[in-house]
Amino acid sequence: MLYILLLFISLGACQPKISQTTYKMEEINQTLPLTDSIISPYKKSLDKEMKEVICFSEQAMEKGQPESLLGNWVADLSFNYAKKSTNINPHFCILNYGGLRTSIPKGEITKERIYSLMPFENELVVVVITKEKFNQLIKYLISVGGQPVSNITIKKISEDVEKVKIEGVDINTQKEFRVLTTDYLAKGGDKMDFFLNPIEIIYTNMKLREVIINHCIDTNSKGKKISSQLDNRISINE
Amino acid sequence: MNRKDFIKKSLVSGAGIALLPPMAFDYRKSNFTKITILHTNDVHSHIEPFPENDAKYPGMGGVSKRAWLINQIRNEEKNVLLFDSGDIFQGTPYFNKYGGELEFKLMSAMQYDAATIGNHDFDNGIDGLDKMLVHAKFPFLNVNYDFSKTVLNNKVSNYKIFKKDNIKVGVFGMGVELDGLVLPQLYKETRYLNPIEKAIETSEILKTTEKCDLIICLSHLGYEYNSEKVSDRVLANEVPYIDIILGGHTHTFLDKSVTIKNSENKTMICQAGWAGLRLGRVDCWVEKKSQLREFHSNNIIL
Repeated sequence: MLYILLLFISLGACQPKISQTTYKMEEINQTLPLTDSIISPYKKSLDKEMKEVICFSEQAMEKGQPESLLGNWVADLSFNYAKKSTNINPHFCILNYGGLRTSIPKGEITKERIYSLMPFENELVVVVITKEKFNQLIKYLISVGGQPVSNITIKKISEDVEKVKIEGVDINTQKEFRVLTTDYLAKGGDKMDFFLNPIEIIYTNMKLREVIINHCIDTNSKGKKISSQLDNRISINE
Repeated sequence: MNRKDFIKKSLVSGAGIALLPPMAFDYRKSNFTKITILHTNDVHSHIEPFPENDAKYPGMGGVSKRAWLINQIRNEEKNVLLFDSGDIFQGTPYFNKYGGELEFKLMSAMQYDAATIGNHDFDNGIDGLDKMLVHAKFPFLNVNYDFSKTVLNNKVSNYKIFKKDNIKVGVFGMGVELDGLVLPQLYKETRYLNPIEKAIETSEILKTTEKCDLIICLSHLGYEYNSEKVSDRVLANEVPYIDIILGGHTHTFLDKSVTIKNSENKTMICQAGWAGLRLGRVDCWVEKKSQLREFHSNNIIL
């Protein structure tokens, strides 16, 4: 858009027109030396760290529901990190769609991009919950239309009939569930009330953002690109 | 309100002055004072423009362009007021690394007149916000958070009155319910008070005790919800005397403002998207001690 119209409002036949001020985009693209000089020292120091390309992405990843490339990517890498690099042994992972704040473009990924994706200082935790709370979690997941999950598949077949599978767990006999999530959600954020008053919370002391950044760096050091796929892990057939 | 009603009211707002007798308003009369209100919301630490390879907003936004435009408008208009409706913090590494220092310094340089507090402004805890206040040369306004048992006690005002020519502009702030959005360990002893009750109380004080000619609410409640949650639309319907709500929280690109008629007056709701992608502008022609007024709103794309 080349022209920005300010105050282009006709007051009707019996009213005079209020004059319009037009700014050209080229004009607005000017900057004020004052603000630039305030930003400059902060920017220089930040750019040194943030503009570094830490990996490449095979594809553009957006967030969405019931599942998405971006949601699956973050949930899977979090789950794999917790499974392989800690001894907390989670059964599955649930994160929140709203917490992913930007998309991942195809190609170069800077550290800055990951900060924009996950600006919060959220830490990965495992919440140990009862079977009853687990059932509430499944109902919640369906009612909100899906959240990023890993190592669990949920199919809603009809009203009140869900098919839930967790790799390596017999749901019918399992009494306690070890759920990987963030401390924000563990404390009831995004209305995940089933996490309140749990059997136990185990802290990893690892920020989700750090886990994502480490995954990018690791993948790149193996000469690979980061990637994701859709696999119908949540399907809601209404 | 049913859908038909809503459409009708929206159309009325589009026409702008349809609720006034058409001949009553003539902005050229010398007894009208023109006040230009500029506003932002949910800037979320977007200091620099979006990168050129961004899919949605390539090269858009950025504080420098906004500062230039504000400066330009200040050169053209006599009475300018500049506000922010909260969520100044969180969204780029500038916040992670510097905690909001640069955001407040830049807003001070642009001469913001006031801001309200958004839920993300608690992201480094209420102490993290408190520590940054030294960099803000503008006041924070809020009436529905009780900070009396926190470090922000006496550091946030209910409202502020700005005098422009002979016109008194009363401005107050409102915040969204923190429970469920912000961890309790971050907002600590902050108590959330009923926003409708506080807004009615405050707007009545501004109207009758302070005798303000124009009443503005800086709101971080959000534009509209499918639930019973209090929003700017609910506020406009239930609170008399607010002339303009400058909203936030829902990141709504309300490029055409919405006007809602309630028992006492009509209230214009504005919101300028997020990330500094818009500069909201409302030109007000106000006549002292009269109900005659004219508002023209516009979101300028940056």
